[in-house]
Amino acid sequence: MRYIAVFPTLTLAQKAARVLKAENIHVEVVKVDSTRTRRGCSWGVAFDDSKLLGVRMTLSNNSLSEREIIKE
Amino acid sequence: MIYLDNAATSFPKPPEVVAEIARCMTEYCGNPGRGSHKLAFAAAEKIFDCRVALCNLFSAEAPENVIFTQNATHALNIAIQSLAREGAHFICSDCEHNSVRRPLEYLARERGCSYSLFDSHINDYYRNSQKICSSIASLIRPETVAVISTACPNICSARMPLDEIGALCRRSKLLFIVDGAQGAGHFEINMKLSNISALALPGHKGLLGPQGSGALIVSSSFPTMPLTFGGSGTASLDAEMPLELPERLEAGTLSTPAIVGLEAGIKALSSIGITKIGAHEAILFQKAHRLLSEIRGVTVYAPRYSGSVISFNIEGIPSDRVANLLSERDICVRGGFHCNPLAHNVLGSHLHGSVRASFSPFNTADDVYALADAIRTVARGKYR
Repeated sequence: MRYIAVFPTLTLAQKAARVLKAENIHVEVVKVDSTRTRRGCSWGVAFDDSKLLGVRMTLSNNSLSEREIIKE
Repeated sequence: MIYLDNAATSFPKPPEVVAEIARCMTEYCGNPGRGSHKLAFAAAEKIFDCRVALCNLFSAEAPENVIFTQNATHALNIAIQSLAREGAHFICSDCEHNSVRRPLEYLARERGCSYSLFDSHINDYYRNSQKICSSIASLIRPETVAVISTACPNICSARMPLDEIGALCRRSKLLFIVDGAQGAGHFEINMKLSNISALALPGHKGLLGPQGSGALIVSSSFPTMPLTFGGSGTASLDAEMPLELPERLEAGTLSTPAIVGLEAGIKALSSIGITKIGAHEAILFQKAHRLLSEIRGVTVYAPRYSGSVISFNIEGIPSDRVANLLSERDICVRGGFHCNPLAHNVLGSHLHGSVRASFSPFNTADDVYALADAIRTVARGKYR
């Protein structure tokens, strides 16, 4: 199963992806299903559920605030 | 063809720039930040690469603070108009391009703002940063919101003391907007060290990218307001533009070919090294200054500043006429006022403008010799 950390913009999702990749966490930038967001088109990084803690910590350490984390 | 109009736009472009644009147009030019297919993502990744390259080159805070624009004028308009409110006062140098002067004039006429000019002292033999900063300090009022300065005017090579002006802005709690049009790619500009709040850049001049590329880089505290409104590929159900940079200021489809070309230009530039480029251009300037000064009837303006731009006139021959005569000899320079009447006022060339020759890393000493030979011939015709 994968989670998606949703970001306000594509650029912030890309930045998050590069930060996470630098920590050897495999992620993929994805467009989030628009029906699952309240504001329409959104972007995020998808990752394996086993990486949830590492993703949260890495994002926090780099002052990157995801809007929410949802199941893919 | 000898091309000496690099202050208008650099030419030729490095082969890597041409190759990357062609690759983009044939292999991956999807619409970045819109769809979720491979070509859209490929384009978006290349665009993010360019944000990172610009962020690193100018020591900006973060890649998301890099906003792509059509050119430096577009970037300056976003920065200046973001600060427009009734009563706002701006301070800018007395040698600003129309890309600064005209937005300020518009805001003064239509939005209740005002502006004052500080003395850049570019024609003062004893110019120093203290004199310039004193001039700025004397103009600060309670309602002043920002100081705007070019990194270097477009008709001479007099660099502005950005570190010192930035420090003054920090002490005075003012925003600092820099027009990097003639500085970027010619000498180091460091947003952190110079306390620059907003840096406007053309991609197609010293950064060696294609026309149609440009950027505004802002500090996180800079209060941005969109100049254009529309699709941003994010939060599509909202009626307002998103709050987050850079999408907040990038309505509509970005020019992916221009941006990937810009990134290739930055790579080419970095492989040579900005310091090396600056030194090369200064040598060409000094050679040009020495040769042109020896010609009867030629006046070189602000000759003590060596850099990428040299301006001069031949007595009695209009600058545009000189440029046309050089064009007949396959030498490209620019005559007239260079969209900068303020700087021509300061240099004393306000009546007829000047002939401007401007260098790139690809010019050689032979180009300068050819320029001097042609000017000698044109001047001889006048003095025969």
